[in-house]
Amino acid sequence: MRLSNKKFKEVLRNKGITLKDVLQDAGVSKTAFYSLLKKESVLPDSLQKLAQKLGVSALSFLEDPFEIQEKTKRQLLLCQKIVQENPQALWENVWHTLQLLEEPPLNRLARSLRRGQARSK
Amino acid sequence: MDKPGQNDFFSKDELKFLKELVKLKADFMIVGLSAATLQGAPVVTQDIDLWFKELPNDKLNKALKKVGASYIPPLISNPPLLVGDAVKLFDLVVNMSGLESFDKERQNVICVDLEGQSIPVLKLDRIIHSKTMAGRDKDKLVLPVLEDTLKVIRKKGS
Repeated sequence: MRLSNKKFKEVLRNKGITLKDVLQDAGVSKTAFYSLLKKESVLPDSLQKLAQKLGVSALSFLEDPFEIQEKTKRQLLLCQKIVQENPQALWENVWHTLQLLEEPPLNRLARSLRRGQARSK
Repeated sequence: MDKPGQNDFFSKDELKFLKELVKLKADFMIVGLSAATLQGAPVVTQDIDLWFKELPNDKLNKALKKVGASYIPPLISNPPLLVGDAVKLFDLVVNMSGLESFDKERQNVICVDLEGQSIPVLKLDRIIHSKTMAGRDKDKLVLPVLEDTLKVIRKKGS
């Protein structure tokens, strides 16, 4: 999976920032950037091989911290909204419920039983 | 940190028991706090409460047999019980405070996916109603959490 110079330039254009400025702000040297551009793949070989074997894109294994942050932000907003609409509701109850609803039901049950049994010991 | 998986907690036979009940079309539903956690309530529980239309019944016995467990009928000193490694997590519920008959409450069931099987689970609002009517100290403690969970579910569903 190569780094696309064309796509990179497009992002810079959209953000209205120069390559020089972004490299400086991010603390990335020109040499490091151009060496990335030359690489056949910016992802490790082992990851590529696994993806190839499974017939999926190596990207499908990656977790995007930006996406996670956005999701958390959305959940926080929803939590705030619910608590505002229901002033008697406790923030932690609402927040934990929202977190649990992200998991499959069997996981929720397993968590609850695991804690219940640990508590009884 | 990795999230704890589901199958590292439940044994194969515990899941098989539930799946067998569904496969055999047994008249049952999961109730109590285990039903509430399946719907997202952040509460802890020690067992999975099962409510059957009738006890004993052939379908329950068949499912128990499949996992090497058995049913002990109620005696003066004990309620009906399930015994065996595969059913240690399960409790039988005979009376549900404040609820209608099993047949009527069947309308208040949602199906929850457990590894591809649709398991009948009593809806959270009915669990809240039952716990309110039971009015035990332990129920009173957990009711605010269940009510908040219901608000979240309703908001998310709206």
